[in-house]
Amino acid sequence: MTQKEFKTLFDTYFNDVRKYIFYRSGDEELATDIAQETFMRVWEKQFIIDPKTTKGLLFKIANDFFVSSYRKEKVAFNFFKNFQPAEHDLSPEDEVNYKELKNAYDKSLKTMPEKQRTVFLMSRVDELKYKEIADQLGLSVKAIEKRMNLALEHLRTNLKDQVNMVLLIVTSKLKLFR
Amino acid sequence: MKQDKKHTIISSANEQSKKFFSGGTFVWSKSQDDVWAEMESALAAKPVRKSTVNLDFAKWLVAASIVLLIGLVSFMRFYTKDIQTEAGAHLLVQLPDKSTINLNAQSSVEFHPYWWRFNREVKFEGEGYFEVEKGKKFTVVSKLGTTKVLGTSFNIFSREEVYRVICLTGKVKVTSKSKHEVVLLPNNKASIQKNGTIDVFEDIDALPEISWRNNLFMFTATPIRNVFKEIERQYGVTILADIDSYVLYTGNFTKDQNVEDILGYICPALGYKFVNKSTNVYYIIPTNE
Repeated sequence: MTQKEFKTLFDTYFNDVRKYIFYRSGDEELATDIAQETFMRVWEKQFIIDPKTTKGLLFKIANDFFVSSYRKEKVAFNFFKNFQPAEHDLSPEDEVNYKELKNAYDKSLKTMPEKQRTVFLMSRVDELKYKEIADQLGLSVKAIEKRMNLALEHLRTNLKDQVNMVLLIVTSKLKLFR
Repeated sequence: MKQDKKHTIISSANEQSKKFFSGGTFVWSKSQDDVWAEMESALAAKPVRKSTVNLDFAKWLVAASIVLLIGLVSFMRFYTKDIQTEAGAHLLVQLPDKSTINLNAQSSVEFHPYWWRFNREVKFEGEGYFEVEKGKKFTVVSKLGTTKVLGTSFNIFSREEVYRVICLTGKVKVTSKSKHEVVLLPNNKASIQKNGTIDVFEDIDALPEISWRNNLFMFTATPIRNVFKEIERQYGVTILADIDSYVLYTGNFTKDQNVEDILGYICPALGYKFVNKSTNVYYIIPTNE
């Protein structure tokens, strides 16, 4: 692999790998470190990469690093510290409701089990199909569906109490924007 | 009512979260470009050590494979199977492509079994009946001449100064050492002369020539010395005879008769008798002595 080819590989996949570890750990610094280590490893070992399996392989390496370097002090999952939801033109009133919704999601993500959270975020933020997630994580589509359903269930119970009304309002508003 | 509301919330959780997270952006304290800049220096600092090792290894591997291949090919090329028949023995030799050679007594054949698919060639001395499978050129090399065929059956007699080929089916090309060539059709017989020219006899009776395969030995006006030589080969005996070579013999014998019976009716017909001097050694002397 030449440096140029390596750069292409880096540009194509670096962000996906970093996000993946971030979804799992909620630790930005760790995610960046591991993603960097993953690509360094690929460069040093000069793996001959089959384009079909590249992403799966990168995720696998990143996963191995993550498992071996898993930090003892768990970092609180502050998703919105590093994630900016899309902007919507909202009335001041809706703005308040929207903030409440965001807080509810923040809280839910903090308590959501890691496996569900990873799948959930890959589906929602990266907008990947279940099949794509399954391929990248080396899991079956069934397993992804199951984790996704559990994640939605988790959200439902957490969101229900505080924002059931807000949800409905915002949902209908958001629908208008699309 | 409450049930309805709950249901709405459930179904909306899916839709709603999709909308909420879609199109958002990440804010990293270290951008992708920052990371690359950091890595770039590390890339140069760490030369691609592994891959050079691999390259060396690959070179060795290629070299080793080539040596191995050469070894294997030369083994296939030069490995020789050598088959000989003793006096008194007949042998059916099967070649790698199912062609067969029926070897008469005191004959030899050499071939390269692993090179057979590339070159069907045998070295041959003595007498043998060949049945050749159809295929590429089949070559029989003897001291005095060479016989080439495609797929046929034929008999070769190559002993001492005599080289005879009888074609039974197909076409056979005979070449002498002095590069004379003839093509034989069925029931043609070629005989290489001392000066290297080839005599061809057409429409001969092939049967006496190949009847040895069935242990039947037929002679028609054959010099008596050659008859005795054939008996020596078939029975593994020694016959010492002081007879002029122009004495010709016509007759036949089968191998299930014993050697003394055969000598017992060949000799009187020519005015000779035989004396058993020691085990397997016979003297042929004129009757009046």
